[in-house]
Amino acid sequence: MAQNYVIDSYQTTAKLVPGMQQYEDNFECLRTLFAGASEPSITKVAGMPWYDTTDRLLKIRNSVNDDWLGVMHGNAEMKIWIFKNVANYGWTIDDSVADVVLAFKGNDSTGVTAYDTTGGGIAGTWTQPDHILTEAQIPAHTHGSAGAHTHPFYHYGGGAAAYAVDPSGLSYNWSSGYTKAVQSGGAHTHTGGGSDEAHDHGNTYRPYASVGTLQFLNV
Amino acid sequence: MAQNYNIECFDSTADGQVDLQLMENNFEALRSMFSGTTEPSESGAGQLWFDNGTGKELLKIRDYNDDWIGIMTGDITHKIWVYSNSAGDGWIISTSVTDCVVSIKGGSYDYNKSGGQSGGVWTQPLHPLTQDEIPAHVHDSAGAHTHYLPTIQPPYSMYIWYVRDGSFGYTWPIGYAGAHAHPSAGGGLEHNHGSSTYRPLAAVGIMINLNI
Repeated sequence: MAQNYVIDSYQTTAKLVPGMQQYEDNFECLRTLFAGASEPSITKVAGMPWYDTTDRLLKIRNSVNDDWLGVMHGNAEMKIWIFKNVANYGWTIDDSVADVVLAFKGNDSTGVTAYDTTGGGIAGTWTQPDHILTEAQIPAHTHGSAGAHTHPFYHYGGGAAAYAVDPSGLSYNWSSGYTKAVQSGGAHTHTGGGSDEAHDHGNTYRPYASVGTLQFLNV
Repeated sequence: MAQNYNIECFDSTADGQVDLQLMENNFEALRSMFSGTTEPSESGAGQLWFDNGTGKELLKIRDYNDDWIGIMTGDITHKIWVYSNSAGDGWIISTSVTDCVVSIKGGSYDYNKSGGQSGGVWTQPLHPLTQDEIPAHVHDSAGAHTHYLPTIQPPYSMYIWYVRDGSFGYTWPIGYAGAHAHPSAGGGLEHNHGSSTYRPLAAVGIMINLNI
């Protein structure tokens, strides 16, 4: 680390030895980008670098020379989304993550939703959750008429005592002394079911996503 | 700002004071990253230039192909999504945004707001099904059933005989009907939960690029 930069390192009246030492100091400051735990004490200029060893961050003096900008840096572990199809030089595409949206992790200790997980992984699903409709959630509807129909019944027409007989089906031989009476039934419909209630598919569903974190430079 | 860098700052035939002044100038150019509103008059691969032009404030580096590429900078308001669970040195995780997807602002619905906010919801809009949206279906018959008929048969004035289940007794005569079903209902049409207006809960931001 070095921050002992001397702006006016050359003076016509200075002796050679101290002047050259200042040159050496300046080289070291430039080589380390003014690395130090606090900002350089010398007069700052726009564009001047400072590697902040406290924040572990390279900073650049802004254009109006009143603040520091952080320089984004990373390594192979720090993957970000780019709106482009190819990688620039110095970048590598991670093909292992595909066909997902981007999401921010929730509270990975609760596990309430799929995003309550560790960042840097895949979570969620493209299949929305099943929902079984209740009777109230099906629309009110009827099934129309079954059509006019009859209910035949049978009775014995002779003898002292007439009596009705359950024919036990259409194959029953009722011709020998039986007659058939018919009860006509009009067309009818059944009562409508359902109450038109709205439904949704819950609020715990999360689409298939690469789950990450929201980060910013510690400027 | 300083861009007066002299590559040949040492000349064995030059006066020493001249060379030393050139070196001092070079130091200042290096210290300010060649800060200037226009590019340095001389540049080589790897050389930095802090473009101080209007609306720029952008650090650039000369690439192998003699083009300038931008170096990304930011501050604590400039937050990005990272596919990682931890922050590297120099970075801090903002825990204020959780359990949502990433979106870009715009449109006419929940993402129509300033970036840096949340928009949308996780619950999709309610939707009551119409009869046309339920699948065509029938209700199976309840099975054969009987209709008891109040009749009086002579010579009895109060009762009639009947035979049912193999035994005689007094009761109403019955009408017998076979099983039957009613017509199908339902149109089998698809349905959704909000057409194009629904937006999932998201961190709403903007799409930006370096102003090279």
